Amino acid sequence: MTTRITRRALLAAGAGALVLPGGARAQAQPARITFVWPFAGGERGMQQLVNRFNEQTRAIQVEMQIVPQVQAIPRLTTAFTGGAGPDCLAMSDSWLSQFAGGGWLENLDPLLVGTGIEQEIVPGSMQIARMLGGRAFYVGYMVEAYSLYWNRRLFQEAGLAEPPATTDAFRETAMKLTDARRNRFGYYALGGSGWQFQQWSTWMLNHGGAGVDRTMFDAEGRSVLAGSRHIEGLEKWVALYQRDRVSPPASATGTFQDQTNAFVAGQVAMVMGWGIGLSTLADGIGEANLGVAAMPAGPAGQYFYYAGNGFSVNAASRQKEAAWEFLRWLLRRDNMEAWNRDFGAIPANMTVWDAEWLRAPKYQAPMAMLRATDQLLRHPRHLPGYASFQTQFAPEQVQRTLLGRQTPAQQAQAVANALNELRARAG
Amino acid sequence: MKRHALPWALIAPAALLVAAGALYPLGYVAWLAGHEYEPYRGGRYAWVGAANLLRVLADETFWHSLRVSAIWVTGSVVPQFLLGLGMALVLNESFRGRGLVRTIILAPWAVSGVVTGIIWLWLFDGTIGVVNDLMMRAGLADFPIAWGIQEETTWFMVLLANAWRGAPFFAIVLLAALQSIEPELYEAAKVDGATPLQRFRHVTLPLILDAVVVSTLLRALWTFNFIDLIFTMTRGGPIDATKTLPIYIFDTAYQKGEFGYAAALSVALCLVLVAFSAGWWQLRRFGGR
Repeated sequence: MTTRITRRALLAAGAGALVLPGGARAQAQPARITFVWPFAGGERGMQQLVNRFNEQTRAIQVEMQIVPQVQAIPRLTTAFTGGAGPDCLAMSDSWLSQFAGGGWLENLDPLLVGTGIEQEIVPGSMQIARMLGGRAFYVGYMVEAYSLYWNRRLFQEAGLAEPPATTDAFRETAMKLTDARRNRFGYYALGGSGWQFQQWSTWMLNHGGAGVDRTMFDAEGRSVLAGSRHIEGLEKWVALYQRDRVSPPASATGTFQDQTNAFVAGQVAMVMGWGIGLSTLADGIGEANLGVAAMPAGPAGQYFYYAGNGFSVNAASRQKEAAWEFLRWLLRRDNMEAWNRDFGAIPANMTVWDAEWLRAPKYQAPMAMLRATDQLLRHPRHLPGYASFQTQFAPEQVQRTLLGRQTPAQQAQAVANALNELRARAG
Repeated sequence: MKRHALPWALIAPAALLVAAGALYPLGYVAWLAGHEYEPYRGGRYAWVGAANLLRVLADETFWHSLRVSAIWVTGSVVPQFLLGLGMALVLNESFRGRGLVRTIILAPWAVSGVVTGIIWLWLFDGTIGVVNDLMMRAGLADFPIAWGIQEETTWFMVLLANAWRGAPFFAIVLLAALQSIEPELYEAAKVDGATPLQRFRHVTLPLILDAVVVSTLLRALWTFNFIDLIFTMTRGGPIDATKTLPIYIFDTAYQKGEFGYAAALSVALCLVLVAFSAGWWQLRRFGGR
């Protein structure tokens, strides 16, 4: 059989030969991935890292998209439920139960094997990452401990040198710092949105103790927060506002931002919050003037809340490998050090913890709390609906109590019932 | 036949866009209301029929939020309308710099709800607020007032902020209506000996009534659904005093993760608004139309 090569076939072969290098070029086209940054701060430092990655790694090009933090949950939920969304993202641990619970985040365990990343990450952060079904849905890039911030100048003016170490000492200190006639107060008893739950529940847990494995539940799965000692702790906290009047009246409904304003303006001498606000407070009153201490201990011990932010990969992404390669690069010691130093946060990567800049006094108390692994509370952020509990239910409850509409015992019971219900629904 | 086909063909693209942009989401929400759907817990749809809607009827928080929404809408639209009407009547007169004043009056309307909320929140802030500072300087208060801890003062704060933002809308709409009235009608009324109040009652009001009904209806619907400003300023507090229905729906969906029930709440909200709109529209009859 002879093969006849027609002119048309020859032309087609020639065209194919011309296209081939183009095809090879097409294969060499960089993988383009999207990375969402859903926070109000730190975007400048992160964009610099993304730019550097894009310059260094021509095979992968990352487009960073900034989503306003208040819109993060609705916008990302809408995208994820439609099978879309970014290839990878930064996120708060408080969103894990929603996004991982929806099945939208990739299990990173297989990707972590053999990388050595997990060995470098602070254990508490990995514990958060694995709170749903024991699988790692994110890798932390920063960690924070809920801390007590105090104004050294106002302390000195009141003849005080050290922050209070116990809840009883806290009351005495706050009273010495209060002069209502001059609109000066010792403390800001936060009742509005912005993590007020951590304040009053610290008093409860440090008076009544934590549950099994430092959770809020006993061995039978019931919330411990309705115990008599826990109620006593809450009564003492509420008394700071109602009886001792060491807090501005507006604090009963004040938000985290109002608390920050009051502290920066010198109206209050002590506030409590996450490390994310450290830079704002330091900028506001001067770093030398800012003291950071552990949350005060109670008769039952001293427990700390901790949290963090991390990176995740979208389970529906078609570019998971590229996304993970980018995240691995971000998680390198030098990059994590650069971003956290610029932002004023504590890196989740422990190999950075010996860096010179982390020896600044403001980091010592949070780092000591994060190292005290047997005192770190495991609050039930893995339960579906816990986000609503924290942002809507808890503020309403504590406002009711602070404004005299219910007793601390009623609040403790309502909170315990709500937690029990959340746990029962989770199964 | 061809003659009838052309108009249909011409409106078909617009009709399709409306169907895609409005009817599909509405239908989807109605469909979702009949399901239990919790995307944060795996996202399976389970048909529950009317169970979600029956749950709405028995939900105390729904009724509370509906009452709060009624206060929010009434307390917002009435002062906005009165302020806007006053502004429109003034701007309808001839004076130097009228164009500039019109532009300035419109400015608050261009500010977003969140920004408006932050501005007014800071004005009323218990620590650094200008309002407290002015009151103390004027001797009206000895100590800073905690505006956000009492229901009454909180309502005053948010309704004032919303009035500031919403009044320009009424001013512009009503001004356009006022300018469409023929001057001869006023002259005839004057000749007949009508007082300024009578001229307003018998000439101005009937002729701007359409604009009044439409603008108040639109503004009421927008305010009912408007979450940005009140959420920024109060988060529904103190306690749950300003928790409007949209705030409750947002929490049910995105914090509790109960999207099916949130859809049922939205359907209930939609029905309330349809009933309100139908009733309000009847007000046009008073204009003799």
